[in-house]
Amino acid sequence: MPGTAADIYATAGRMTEDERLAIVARFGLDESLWVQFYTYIGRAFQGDFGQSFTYFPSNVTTKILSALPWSLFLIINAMILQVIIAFVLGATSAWKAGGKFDATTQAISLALWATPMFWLAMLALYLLGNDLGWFPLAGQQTPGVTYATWFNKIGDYYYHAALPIMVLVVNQFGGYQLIMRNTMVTTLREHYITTAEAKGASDTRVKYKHAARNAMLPMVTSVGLRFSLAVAGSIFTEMIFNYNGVGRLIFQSVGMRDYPMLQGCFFILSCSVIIANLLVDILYQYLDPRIRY
Amino acid sequence: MQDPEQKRFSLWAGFKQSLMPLFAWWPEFRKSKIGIAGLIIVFVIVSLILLAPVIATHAVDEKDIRTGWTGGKYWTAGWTTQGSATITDEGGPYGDILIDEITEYHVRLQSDSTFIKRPLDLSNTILANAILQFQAKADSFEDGDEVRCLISPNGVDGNWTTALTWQKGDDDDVYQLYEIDLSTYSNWRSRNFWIQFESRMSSADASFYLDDVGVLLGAPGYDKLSPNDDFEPYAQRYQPPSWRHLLGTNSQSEDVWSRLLYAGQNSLMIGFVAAFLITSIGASVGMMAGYFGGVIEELVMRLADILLIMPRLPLLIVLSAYLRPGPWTVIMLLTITGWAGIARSTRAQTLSVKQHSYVEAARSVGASNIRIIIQHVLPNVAGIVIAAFVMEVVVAILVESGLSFLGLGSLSHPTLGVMLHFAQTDAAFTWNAWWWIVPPGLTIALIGLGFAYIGNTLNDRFVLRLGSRRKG
Amino acid sequence: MPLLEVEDLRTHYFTEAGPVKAADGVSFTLEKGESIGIAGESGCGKTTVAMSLMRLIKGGAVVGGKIMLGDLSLLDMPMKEFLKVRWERISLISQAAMGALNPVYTVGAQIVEAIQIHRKVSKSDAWEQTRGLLAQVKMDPQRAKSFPHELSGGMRQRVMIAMALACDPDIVIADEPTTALDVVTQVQVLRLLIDLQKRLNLSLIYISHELSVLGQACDRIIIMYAGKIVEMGATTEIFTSPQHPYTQKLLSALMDIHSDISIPESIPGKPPDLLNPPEGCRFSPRCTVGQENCGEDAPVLVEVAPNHYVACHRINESK
Repeated sequence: MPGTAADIYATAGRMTEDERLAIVARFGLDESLWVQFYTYIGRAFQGDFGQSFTYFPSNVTTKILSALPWSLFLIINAMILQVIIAFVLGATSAWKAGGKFDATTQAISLALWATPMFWLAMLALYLLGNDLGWFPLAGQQTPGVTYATWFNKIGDYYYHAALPIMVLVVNQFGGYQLIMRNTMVTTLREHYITTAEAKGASDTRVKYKHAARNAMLPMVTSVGLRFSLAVAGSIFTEMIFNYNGVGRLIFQSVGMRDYPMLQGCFFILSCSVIIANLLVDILYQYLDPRIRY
Repeated sequence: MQDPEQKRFSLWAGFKQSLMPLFAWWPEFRKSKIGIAGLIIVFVIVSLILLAPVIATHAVDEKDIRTGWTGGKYWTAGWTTQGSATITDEGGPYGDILIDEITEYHVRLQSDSTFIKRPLDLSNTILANAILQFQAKADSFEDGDEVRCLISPNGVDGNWTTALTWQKGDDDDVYQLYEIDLSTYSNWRSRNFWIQFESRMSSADASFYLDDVGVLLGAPGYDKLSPNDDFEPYAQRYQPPSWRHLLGTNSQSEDVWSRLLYAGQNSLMIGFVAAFLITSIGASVGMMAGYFGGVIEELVMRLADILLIMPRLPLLIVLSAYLRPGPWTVIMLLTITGWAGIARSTRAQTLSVKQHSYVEAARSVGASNIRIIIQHVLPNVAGIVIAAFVMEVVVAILVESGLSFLGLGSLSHPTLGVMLHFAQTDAAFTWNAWWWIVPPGLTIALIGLGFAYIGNTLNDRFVLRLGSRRKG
Repeated sequence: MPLLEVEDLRTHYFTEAGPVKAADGVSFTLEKGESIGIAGESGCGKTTVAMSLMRLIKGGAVVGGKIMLGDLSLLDMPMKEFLKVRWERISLISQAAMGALNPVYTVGAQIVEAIQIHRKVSKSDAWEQTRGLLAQVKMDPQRAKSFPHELSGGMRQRVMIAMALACDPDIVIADEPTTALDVVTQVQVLRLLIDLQKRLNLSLIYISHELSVLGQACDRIIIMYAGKIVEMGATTEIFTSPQHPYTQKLLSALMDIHSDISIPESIPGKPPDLLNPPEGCRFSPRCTVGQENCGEDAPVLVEVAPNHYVACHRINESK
């Protein structure tokens, strides 16, 4: 998508040359690229990503910060569900590795993983939202409603987020499930599993309390890395479900070639991935006593 | 015991030996039902796609336009969907209204349940002029009620400009015809117009119907066609599947089946080339870094760590927003952002191979580095690399389709993602044109799951070497 | 009546190439308060016998035979019932150094778990009991709050022993409990185990490939070869008058520091492939004193002296 932003804005409305030059000067586009770059980096580290071309005069940072909580709401809910589903399915399929359940879950989760998320989202929106009418078609909350209780508010948020979260979960739990299952297979061969069984522990206790509790560690580590996949997924879901998060902002900025906004979004998303990794590291210490300090 | 001649190192022999696991994979692989299923699926789809020139029924860009073209006037979109208005407050379509408190109502037109905010893609038209024409049924209007038609020449949330405002007059027809000349919006040919209606009405139960919205296209000077005329669209748009069009036609009257096959070719090509580059670059970097170590290794692996932690898709979006789209751009971007994972796993494997006593032994008898890499390291990383390559094909196809779906793909070589992009922007679902949406997605999913089944089996059997645990 | 009676135990592992007969007709008894040692090379089926007692065979199954614990037929019980036999009646000391303790729980919590599975006691009582058990194995009770990785190999093995005693079992199976430890710790753990066995009048099944260890710890010794018992008798009998050629080889392989010969004799050949065990006596391909019929008929266990059984054609015929 080439073209400088000023040209696009010059042709978007009918603009005189003077107006075009005014805009170029306003956004500092007349400076040399290096000057623009230095100015940008300098400001970025102060949390200032400049002004949006499209949402002028709002600045990029405020726009992103108001969208970010919605994205995080989707991503975090989806990731928690993914991990829970993967924990149970992975543990169960490894328990009888090579069995029918194992083969079926692997086949299904790989198939869902290989399906393009945006397509799943389109189908979900069309079938579950449009045809069956079970879920709202757009937005993240019912507009103009004053919520009677705090509970109603959360309920409404979840009602609107249900489809996007569902699509994220369905498409992405397979990755965790695979890690969980493969670790679980090796964990089940550990001596302490035999010890637990010898102690007379029930199958459920051996499976979850001993085996899965240990086997989940690599999966938890992967949450940090896979956070960026969830971010990618949220771009599609937010775009298709018209959910006003950072992902939708990115999608719109691509169309408008709103570079400051794009860069800002990317920067903020990278930061949230790094923070997520840090949080996972902290959480990991509580899950694995061997690396406690 | 050993013939000293045999010890002479031949590059080819070493290479062949290192690839031995490749030739021995089948007996183990065939035990996996999932793996076999994957092979069959991939075989079927790849053959279909490769046979595209034979089995495609139409040329890629062939538009099915019937005879009777009378020189540039037809309803393009022919938006016959009935809009029924619901009264809302300004906040949006679903709000409740306290009638006592509000004296003016904003009416937004809704079809079924979504806003009529429709894109109008005029980019492919060859005509010089376009008129947006619609008729509004306004029998419940009261005099003085105001209706506005807003146009955004550039996306949904772009700058909405009021293109037409009208007030109900005494002598209005029940179906009043309105027109907007789109050519007054400069450079309209490259635009996607989005259209939205808004009105202020004085009575709470006012309703506003839009019976026909369409776009008249024509060269200046031609008569405009009245929507009341008995018109037949010339172009075979949105035709459901039939023998003539196995998977129907799209908004451009093109044959979906043929386009699907060629798009599949492009997707596979990009996926394969990207995956090949990613794995070969990743594996070489990983092996070199693991084997030689040093400052370069540090630098390269830190770079890999950074790449791994960065959200890949947003990064790709930002990068491709600056670049001219094309298949090689996409391949290059995929490679740049994708090599790190494989580099890391090959490096780890190389490091562990390096510590084995046979490598020490080989080095102590003076084997060259190249020889050690080919004879000892390569056979040990081959499993990882091959499994990773197969998986990377899936990832590359998926990421490419995602980028294309967002409109960042290569239009010169449309892929399956590009097909879905146009299906989305042309609102194929509102046309119930499932045949334009389901097949491309399903094809990506099938290619993906075929390769994923193969890759996962290779990974299970040759990388993780997971056996099964049966309960006694 | 003996406490435990194993009769004609057959345990097979299922592989793609066919069943591996890891235990093939093993019979023995164990009295209350008796300690019995099972010896043999790795892969001879000694651990399989132990795991069959606990019904913990993975990738295989007990395909025949009978295990009687008093009146209970262990192999015929439904698994739900059998869960109560585990640890309550038979407990297991395995190699703690090799990861027999769960790394994510404190050792105390793991002992408490064993207690709480079988006894309806409050958490604090169980912890109290756990500290008592740790004291019994001569550990600082405060170490109950430690994780396995914070303890040395010897300490972990002590924890394992304490855990095995948690539910006052009738029988304790010790599967190579000292193998991965350094020599000094080995001696300490062995002494502790012998001491506890005597003091608590435990019935102990001690599995080891080291005959010297069994010599110290056990009243009786069973020698296994390729899934079968080849010789069984009181420890002194086995050490002073071994009858089976395999036992003799094993003993001579033990370095006797008092003898003049300083190089132990090794046994030629490899242990047999249990997928296709040799016809007749399974030791015959490696046996230096064999006769013609050794390769044809399998010898049966015969009592050569009171309570001393040997399965060898040479002995049987000389009788």
